[in-house]
Amino acid sequence: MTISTPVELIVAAPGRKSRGLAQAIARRIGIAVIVIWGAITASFLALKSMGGDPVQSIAGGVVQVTPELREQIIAKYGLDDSFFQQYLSYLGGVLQGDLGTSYALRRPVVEAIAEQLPNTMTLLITATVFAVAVAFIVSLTTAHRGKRVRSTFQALESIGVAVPAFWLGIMLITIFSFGLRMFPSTGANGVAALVLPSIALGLPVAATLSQVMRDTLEKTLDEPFIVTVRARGAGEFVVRVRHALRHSLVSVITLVGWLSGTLIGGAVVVEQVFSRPGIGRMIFSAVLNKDMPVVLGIVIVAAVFYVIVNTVIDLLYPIIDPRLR
Amino acid sequence: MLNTPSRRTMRLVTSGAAALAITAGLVACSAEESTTASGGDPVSGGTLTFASNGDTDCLDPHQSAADLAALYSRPILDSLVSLTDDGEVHPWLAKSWTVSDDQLTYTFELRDDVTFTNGEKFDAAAVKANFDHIVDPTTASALSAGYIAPFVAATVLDDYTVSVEFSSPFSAFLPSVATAYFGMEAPETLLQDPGELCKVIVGTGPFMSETGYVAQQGITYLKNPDYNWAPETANHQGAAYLDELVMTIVPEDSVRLGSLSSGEVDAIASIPPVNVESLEADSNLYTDSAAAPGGNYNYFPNTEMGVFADIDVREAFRMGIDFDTLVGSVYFGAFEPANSPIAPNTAYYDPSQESSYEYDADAAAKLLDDAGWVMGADGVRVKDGEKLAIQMPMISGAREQRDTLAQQVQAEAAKLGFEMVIESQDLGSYVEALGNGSYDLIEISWQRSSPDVLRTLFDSANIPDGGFNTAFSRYTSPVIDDSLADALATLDPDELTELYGTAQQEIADQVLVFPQYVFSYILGASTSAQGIEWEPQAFPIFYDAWKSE
Amino acid sequence: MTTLALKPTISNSIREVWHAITRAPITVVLSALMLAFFVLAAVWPNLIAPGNPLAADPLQTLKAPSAAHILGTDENGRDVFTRIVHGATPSLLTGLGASALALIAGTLLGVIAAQGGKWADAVVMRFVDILLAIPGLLLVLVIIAVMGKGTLNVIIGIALFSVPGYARLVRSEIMVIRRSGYVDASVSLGIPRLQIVMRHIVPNAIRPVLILATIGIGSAIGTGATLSFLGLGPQPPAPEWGAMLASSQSYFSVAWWAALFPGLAITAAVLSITVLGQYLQRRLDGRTA
Repeated sequence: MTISTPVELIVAAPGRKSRGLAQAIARRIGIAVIVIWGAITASFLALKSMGGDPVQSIAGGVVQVTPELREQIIAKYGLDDSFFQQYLSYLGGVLQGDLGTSYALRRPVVEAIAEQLPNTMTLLITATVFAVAVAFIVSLTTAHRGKRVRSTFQALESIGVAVPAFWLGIMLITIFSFGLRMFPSTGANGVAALVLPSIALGLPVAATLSQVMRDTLEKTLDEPFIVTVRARGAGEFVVRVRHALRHSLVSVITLVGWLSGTLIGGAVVVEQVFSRPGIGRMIFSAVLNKDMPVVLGIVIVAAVFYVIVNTVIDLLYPIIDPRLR
Repeated sequence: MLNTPSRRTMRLVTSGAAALAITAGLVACSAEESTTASGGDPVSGGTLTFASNGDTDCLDPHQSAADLAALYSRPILDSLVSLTDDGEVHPWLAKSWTVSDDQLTYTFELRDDVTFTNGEKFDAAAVKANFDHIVDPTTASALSAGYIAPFVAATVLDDYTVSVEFSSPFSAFLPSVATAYFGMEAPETLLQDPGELCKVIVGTGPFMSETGYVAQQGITYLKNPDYNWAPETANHQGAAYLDELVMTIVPEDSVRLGSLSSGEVDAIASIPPVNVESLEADSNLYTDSAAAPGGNYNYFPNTEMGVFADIDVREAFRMGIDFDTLVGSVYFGAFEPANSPIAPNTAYYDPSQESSYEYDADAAAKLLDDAGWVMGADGVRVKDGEKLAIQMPMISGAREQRDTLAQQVQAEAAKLGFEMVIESQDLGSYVEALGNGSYDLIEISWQRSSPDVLRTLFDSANIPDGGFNTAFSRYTSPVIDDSLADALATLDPDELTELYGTAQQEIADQVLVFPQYVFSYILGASTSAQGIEWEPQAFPIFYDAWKSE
Repeated sequence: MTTLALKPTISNSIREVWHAITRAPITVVLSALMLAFFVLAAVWPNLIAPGNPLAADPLQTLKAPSAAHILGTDENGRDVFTRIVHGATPSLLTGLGASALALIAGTLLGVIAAQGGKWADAVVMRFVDILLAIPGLLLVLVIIAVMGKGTLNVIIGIALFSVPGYARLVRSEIMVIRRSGYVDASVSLGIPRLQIVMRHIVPNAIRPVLILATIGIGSAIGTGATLSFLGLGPQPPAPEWGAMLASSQSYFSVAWWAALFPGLAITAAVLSITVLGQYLQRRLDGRTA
């Protein structure tokens, strides 16, 4: 993925202080609430810092705003309330699931997002499954397999991380959709139309994942307990899949949190390239139209999604790995 | 909202959208050109999937100004009258009509055998409800209300007779009312919130859609089995051949093209001109195109301020750039270069003024030299310390490779000594720039198939004053204003030829426009998709379409 | 006398560098060469491609690679090679600018969090959490929606979403150094707090951060290209790799070269910087991974 923070940064998160489990959960949820509040507040500030005439934005670029229409809009959207009042009603609205009305689509933002969300979720899930599967297979087969295999795959992974998703998408369309006529390039219908976008979105992620997984796998394979397992006569497959893999799952789960953010960003580009409907394409056209309620609505939804995924992961750690308790 | 200028709107062309004509002229013809290898008789049944190139903001054409609103709503909505390619008005939902002597009142006799697909009866009250809906301020009609600005009232005379009254003679009414923007919707549905109609509309048309329009995804229609009131201009009567019609939205050119060649869809909108040749070479595919009458895709100089206030500079820009070659190079001959602000298939087009738009780079350079513009060391001409600089705003994500064309114009202008800056803007900023005239050059296509489009584009009364308006060159010429005003008041063809000719010549003499190309809608389809026809405004219609096996 | 023996001589340095190069894996050497090419292209494009990247020629559009145009011409008849070479400047500028900005802001936040006491820590880290919760590209899109398109805003946007990583790393590095006992010793010697931070803590914490910034340049270039591809970065006709790809995409079926090569350029630039950064990281960390 071109939209990536180096994995080292994410994995190198500061160590957690060990505390009582209940206290840790309360603390984590408290942070989640603060983060969501912060994201909503930041969105409100962004909305208010937009240049130009808000009434004109709401009315739409084409309509000439008459004094009557201006009054109507000001009253409807509470534009003459004090700044703080507007903030409170925005916050209250969001908490009740009201993200405002789209300037361009002339309908509630929540409704528009709900309509497009399933398409994006399907893409994100298939891309994740694809990426994780590829990473598992590659890392399991290449860990501790000699220098040549290792460096070959390392090179491939580096290329995979560096290739821009949009370019990969264009290449895939050209080769498979035009050239070989194998997979459809567009639409949200059917499984076949998911193949190419999922690869474009998932391949760079797979490359990152398999780098990290091989590292942890190799570390695990060097641990004493693996020697014990081997000594008991377990075959290489059993050693890798049953024992080593299980111990490297924690790092994979940590990465799922990172993935949820990266993939949403990637979806903007991939949906654009493949003309797939979804919230990625919706936010992009909203940015071009300066349709701020839609832009911020999607940002808030993405932030809430991210916070929930990461909070759940944090709460899961002690369950998965007793050492973290 | 009647008679207020606030209803003025434009055909906004968002990314990837195809510009279609808003017909308000009596004579409209679209030159069609087809390479279809048509074969066999139509058969009923099947699904046809059409990939369109963009979204509409709203499905309801009473509300939307989007060209694509007409495409998506047309299968559902019938109009009172129908218009043919040659500009004749034919009966449709109205059996006949009369116009009062003072041309202020139109009286329609309606068919009595028509029902909406929700079971409501189509009658005079329904027509009145539709007109009332269009002009209702809460509808916030961006286009249709503006097109019947002199509208006063619709009156039910009896069950199947309705009259429409205007405050001033309005000869463009019938061609306007034939468009999808005046499609008849079921009265009950018009009582809903306007936002609801952006998704689902109910009409009397050959197709219906309960699921409605979904942004970015499109719309699926089912056949209206009871349909029995097609206009005589259609190729058949009775229900549509197709059981199902699906319109999907695929903005990316390459993806849309790929979906046609891989057989995912049966027909697609807007073939990129560069691909026309390869597509025609494929025996399973064909292309079909229709040229839109009305305004061309034009560049307009701002004659009020900046370097283009000087007619010599305008003249040099027009002469010094080989627009015909640029258009040929960008569009591979798919679009015809324009040599007039209006398309040649528009009524009262005057071919004699074409010669004013000829290319002569040497003469252009000499003109600038003589006017005192000295070539600077950086390749930009200067006069009295002022640079020969022009600034052109463009809507970002322009369709039809217009940005490519603009870059070529920019490069050619640089050779002449112009410093041309293209500013990519969002819709809001673009409209704002239009309104207050903060540009040297502006690009826009404005299709309206009547020669009255000249009045829209050049009458000094339409010079934008803060808000949106359409006389983009911002030039006041009594010759143009008078001849176009006189043209409205006559129906004599000789007089009209004279008056519109005078206006076109004056526009050329004053260098008020740099025409680029005549827009054509290029459709690509698989040979299994047959019978796709055209609206006079040059967008495809599917009533007569059928699928062969 | 011992200090004299440790003083590096010029010949020693050269030998060391030479050793470093000969011992470096071939991929690292290739990456270094590739990067050197891009840096030269960015600093002095006319040396490599003296032509005008904006020179359009309507009669030479979409010509396949040939002796006259080694990478062919685009839809405006401009030389693709010349445009790729001149396109190095905005790309590297975006990468460097965004990384530098993020590095400065992130380090500042990290230091404040680590040294400013409990409340400063909580406030800064929650702010970082909020930034982290918004997917990177969406954050840039919001910045662009508010501030408008253009290279500078793209740089600011990318920097903003990279800040959390740096802030967290600096904070945790400082925590580690502080626990080393060295700082406690300095405090007990009466050295002012600010001096300890500036003289000792920051220089020690900054090294891993600088290495990460190197890798960050690579991903920032990729993100910048993505935004240009979406039409939000430098505006036409400026040569920029992502923008070149976007405008030639429609012509791909007839002129593959106009879209293939800019994509290769992006990949090569991101790849070379990442490989070098990771190599540096391994060497300086003494890690084998």
